[in-house]
Amino acid sequence: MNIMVVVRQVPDLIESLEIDASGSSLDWDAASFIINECDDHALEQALLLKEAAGGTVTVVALDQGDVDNTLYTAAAKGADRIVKIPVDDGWHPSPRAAAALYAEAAKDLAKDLVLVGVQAHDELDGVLAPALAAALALPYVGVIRGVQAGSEPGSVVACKEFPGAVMARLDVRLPAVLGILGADQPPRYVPVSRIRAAMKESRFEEPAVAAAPAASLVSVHKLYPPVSGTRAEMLVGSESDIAGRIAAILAEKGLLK
Amino acid sequence: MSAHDVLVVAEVQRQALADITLELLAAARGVAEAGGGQVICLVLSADGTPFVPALAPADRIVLVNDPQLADYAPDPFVAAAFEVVAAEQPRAVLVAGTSVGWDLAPLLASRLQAPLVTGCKSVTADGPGLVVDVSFCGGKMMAEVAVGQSPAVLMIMPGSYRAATAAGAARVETREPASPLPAGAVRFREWVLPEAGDVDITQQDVLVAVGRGIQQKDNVELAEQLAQALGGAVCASRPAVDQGWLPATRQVGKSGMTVRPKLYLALGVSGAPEHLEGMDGSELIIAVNTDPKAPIFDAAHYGAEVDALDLLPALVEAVGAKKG
Amino acid sequence: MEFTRPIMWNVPHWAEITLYAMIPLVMIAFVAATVWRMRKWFIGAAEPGTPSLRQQLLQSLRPRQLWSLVKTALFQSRLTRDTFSLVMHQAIFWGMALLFVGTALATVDQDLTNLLWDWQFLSGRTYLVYEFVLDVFGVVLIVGIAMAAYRRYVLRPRRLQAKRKNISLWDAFPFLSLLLLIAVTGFLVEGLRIAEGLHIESQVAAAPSDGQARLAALERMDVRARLKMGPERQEAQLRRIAEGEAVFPAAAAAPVGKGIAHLLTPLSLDNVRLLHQLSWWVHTLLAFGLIVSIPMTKAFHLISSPANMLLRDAGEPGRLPVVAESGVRTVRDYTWRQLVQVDACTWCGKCQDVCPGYAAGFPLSPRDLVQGLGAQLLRTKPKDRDNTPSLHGPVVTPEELWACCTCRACEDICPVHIQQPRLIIDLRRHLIDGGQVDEGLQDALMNFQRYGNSFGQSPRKRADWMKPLGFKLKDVRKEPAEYLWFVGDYASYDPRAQEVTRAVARVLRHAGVDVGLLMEKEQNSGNDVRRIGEEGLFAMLRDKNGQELANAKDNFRRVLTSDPHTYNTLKNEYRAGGQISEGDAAAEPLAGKPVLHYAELLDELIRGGAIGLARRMDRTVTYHDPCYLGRFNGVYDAPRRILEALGARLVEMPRSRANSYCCGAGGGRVWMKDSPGIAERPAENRIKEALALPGVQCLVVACPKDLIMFQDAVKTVGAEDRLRVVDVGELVLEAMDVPAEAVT
Repeated sequence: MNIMVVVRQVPDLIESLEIDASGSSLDWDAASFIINECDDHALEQALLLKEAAGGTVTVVALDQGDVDNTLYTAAAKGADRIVKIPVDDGWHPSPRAAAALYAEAAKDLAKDLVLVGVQAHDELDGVLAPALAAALALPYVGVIRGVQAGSEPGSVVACKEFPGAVMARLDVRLPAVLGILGADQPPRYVPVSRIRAAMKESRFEEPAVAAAPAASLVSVHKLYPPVSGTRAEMLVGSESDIAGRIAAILAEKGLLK
Repeated sequence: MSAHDVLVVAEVQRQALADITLELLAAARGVAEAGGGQVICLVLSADGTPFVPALAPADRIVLVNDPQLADYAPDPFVAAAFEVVAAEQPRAVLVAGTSVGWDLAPLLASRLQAPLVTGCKSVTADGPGLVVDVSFCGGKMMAEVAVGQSPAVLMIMPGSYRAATAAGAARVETREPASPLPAGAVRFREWVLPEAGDVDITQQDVLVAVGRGIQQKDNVELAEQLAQALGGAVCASRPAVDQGWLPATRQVGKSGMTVRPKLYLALGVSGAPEHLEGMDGSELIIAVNTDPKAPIFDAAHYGAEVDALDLLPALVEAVGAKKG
Repeated sequence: MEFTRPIMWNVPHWAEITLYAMIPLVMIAFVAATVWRMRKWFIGAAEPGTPSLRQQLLQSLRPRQLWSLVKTALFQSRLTRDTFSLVMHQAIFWGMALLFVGTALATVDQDLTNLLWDWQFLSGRTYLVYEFVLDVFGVVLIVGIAMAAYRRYVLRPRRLQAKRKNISLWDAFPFLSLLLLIAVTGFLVEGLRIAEGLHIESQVAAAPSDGQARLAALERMDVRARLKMGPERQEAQLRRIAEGEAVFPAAAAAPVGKGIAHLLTPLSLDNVRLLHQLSWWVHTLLAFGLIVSIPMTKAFHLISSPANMLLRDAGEPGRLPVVAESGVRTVRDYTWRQLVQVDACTWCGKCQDVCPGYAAGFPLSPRDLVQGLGAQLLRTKPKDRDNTPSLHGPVVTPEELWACCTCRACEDICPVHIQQPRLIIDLRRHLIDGGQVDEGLQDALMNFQRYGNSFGQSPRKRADWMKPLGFKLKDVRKEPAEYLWFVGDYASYDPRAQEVTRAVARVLRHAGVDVGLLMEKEQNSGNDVRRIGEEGLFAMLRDKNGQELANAKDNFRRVLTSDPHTYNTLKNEYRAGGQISEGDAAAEPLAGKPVLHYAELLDELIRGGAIGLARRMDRTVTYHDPCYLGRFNGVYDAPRRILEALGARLVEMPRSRANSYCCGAGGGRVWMKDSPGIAERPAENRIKEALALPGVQCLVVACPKDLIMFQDAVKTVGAEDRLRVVDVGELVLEAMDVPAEAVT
């Protein structure tokens, strides 16, 4: 099975996010980047499928953020090819525009299965995974936690997660795009020594991609930090004081019967 | 049919109507009223008739009944929705930010060549267009987004609106799909349910939630005592379930259940956005956490900056005293 | 008249010949088997950065090392913490040693001097002393064996019981029984000989009193044949006996032999002689059996343990060698030193007794681990390179390996200098190489990679602990300072540990100490990362810190640390230079600069008068020696002097100083999930130990991880109102003659 995985760099939420001078975009220069968590799971799922059923894993990313480290890490984990798509400096394509870039870069790539994280937290204008499916004219289903090779060749079984730990098992005829929420296992650990080895041995493929960026269908007026609304009324005192206060509040509201 | 109508796709989960549909209807009403349009509720299921009474806040209830819509597969749902939306041409299509919604909304938007906005907390009409408040970056940033094109597909986050109560015209229409719904490359095989015989936390009036702050499995017992005293049940945040302290059926949050109890007592829960999504519509939220900067305190009504493990025995005692 | 040691008394000629014929066979068997075992030590890798085996041997033969060897190997100085073991083992060792020396002397006496020159040096007074000493040490040996048997079979301590099949209660049984039988038959042989002598004497006394009759009696009893010496001496001896002297005058100096002889006199002379010969054969065969069995049983430690002591690593215990980043998969990946260690194990189980993991109920026993490796080594054929199986799975399990907190209590108590933690960490390196990591650990490692700290917090916030101070601290990259203060993760990010860091900052400010920090550029020093086995990540952290240190290298003269883990690695491993990984970035900027823990600095300042102490601390306290400060680096007294200066009444924990009991956070365990089968966490065990001390109100610590582990344990045990866990730096601040708020 030839699997293509898309990994994105997203702003690391550990650091505080800054809004740029225009007020309608994040300050990308001030942000530090990290691999999108769902894409990390997508990569893990791809590697698991490769280990179970053979094939190749090609990891594709835009040249943004800490992409080199991400791609070398993917290579160290077992990806066969790593593709870095050059992007104009300072341009952060929307999901729809990015979908066009990925589709263009991957047009000659054999792809039986395309795994992308079902969402990334910086998405505003659309969602990448289904947009990529549309750009590749492939079927799509998302919110997938776990993919196994199907009983028939050319198919996989995907588990779609529903609330309350309910799953729907779906048969997917390939080729298809899956929006990954989680893999059958958490992302594996790869030691730094192997990443360093990958840095020495692996090479990026850097295809020249000229895709006309699709016009945005929405416009962002402004960004603003969330309004906390009313913060909780804090109860103070010893544990027994606080417990007494809480019991009184509950009694007032008629919750103690 | 009017360009001012707002269409809501009802959220049906395994032949049951999900409460979030009523939140969507409330959102739809706000936008439709501004333009003098109607609220259309689209129900895609094997048979939507039992849901009609609950959908009273809608003006029109469009039932598309088809055996292919009994369980879930993306293609029949998208095809059925597309047909109705293409015919109705509403100004907005509101979809719940749920597992089905995350397929339906983008695929539908793609078919319609319509804009898609996810993470919506509120929608307001702005002349012919819409203004949407979007929460992104894990809840750390808000964006005010203007949408000019119509129809626009909007994914509404659970808990953004109160359930609609005011009744609408509630006219029921049943439609057949014009052509047989395509089965598609993705086919439903079976549901996989968690072990049965456990408490349904979505039906509880009182929930005592435990998070990482209770430190170990043995302490869940204390929380159980309190829950019993209050006539409720224990639920958990994702970290507590991951640690194996409680089964997944007790998980509250984005990848667990959404709950709206009368009392949500959060013990040692930090309040990550994914968790808040599952409970911030609760009527009374009391949070206990040693970290004064824990985000749970922004969602709670009352808070205490103490160790949940120290407070629990005192609370069990105080509640017992107050009752007796 | 001179009497000498009887040579082969009552041993027929054919028996003598057989004996001498057997000796070379026994020696060959012994040497062959020993060589067979010793060859296995060299199937592994070379020791990194150290000299070859030959150079190592030369180094070991220097006076100080030799004296150390004499103390440990001969005088068992490593057993001083266990009096019973010390006495027992000394008894067995010296019993056997002296009997062996006695046999050697006898051999020289009979096969050299007597044979060649018809002269014996074991005669007269010399021989009396000889007899006496050997009798006494024979008894000493038996007492030692009895003590061992008592402990092993009556007291039955846990550490002498085994789970694995190749060690059992009975492993020592054949060996102990053999020694006991040899000792007993030895006495029997002596006793029977003396009994025969008594018989001869009585027959001589019964004969008519003229010399001829008596000599005839002696001839009848075939005494001459038993005197295996030159004819003149034979005559002299016969005359002496005929005159009524004792056949064996030295028996007077052999109390045990004499006692046995008197018990056996009811037997007839012929029976005595028969029994004597039988006993002699049994004794001889048992002794040969012992020699042959040495390389094949636990007794091999007679060779491997001293060899290990001779070849041990005399370097810093806090410096962990690296052979391969990918660690150990099979026995061949261990170095020769490690394989000698594995073979040197005496199966005593003391390591298991002191292991906090074992006591907590984790699946780890250092003894079982070493034994398992030893058994695998025995099964490995040196030439068969391709078929060496992996140790992981059949011999060691990941749960076992992750349960280790790297406290080195096992290494410290091992009587024969085995380095169990190093064996474990090498195996961990292999697990890491294969990506097999505990989930909690994976998060911590990813956080180290991304953020340089285990908390997953922004590196920009690393210096935020300073904000409440009210005064600024220098950035050592920009301004020179006396001390570069390397704070560490826990002391920077954990809210409780931050209180201590601030307290120390205030004390230093008040004392006018010139400190500067690397601020947000400081990253985790990597001590625990290395001990988890992520050597590549350790090198990465060390290189990053090294670059920052290099940027600041002219700006500081000494290094101050808050965390004993940081202390250990900066002191011992940053200046060792890269072994595998490229980049000595850290070595040069630290060269020649002392590294201190703040307890050492505060002690210096108090003694020098830079800190005035106003309040006497009217408290009874106990002190927990942090593993990486105490056992690893020998800093025991500085914190105690501080407590003394503070006026606190110090009550030592039963397990203090080198015996200190780890809080269980080391080796990455602080980030791991609880091990399966946990009975009681090490920190809770330690708190209970402190609570059992009468009147103790405070547990004083000097490590941020100890602070957190013990505060949590005190809560779990429900003793918050009885025991306060407090850092020594906080105590100094409290006792200072200037209130904390006034320090600006």
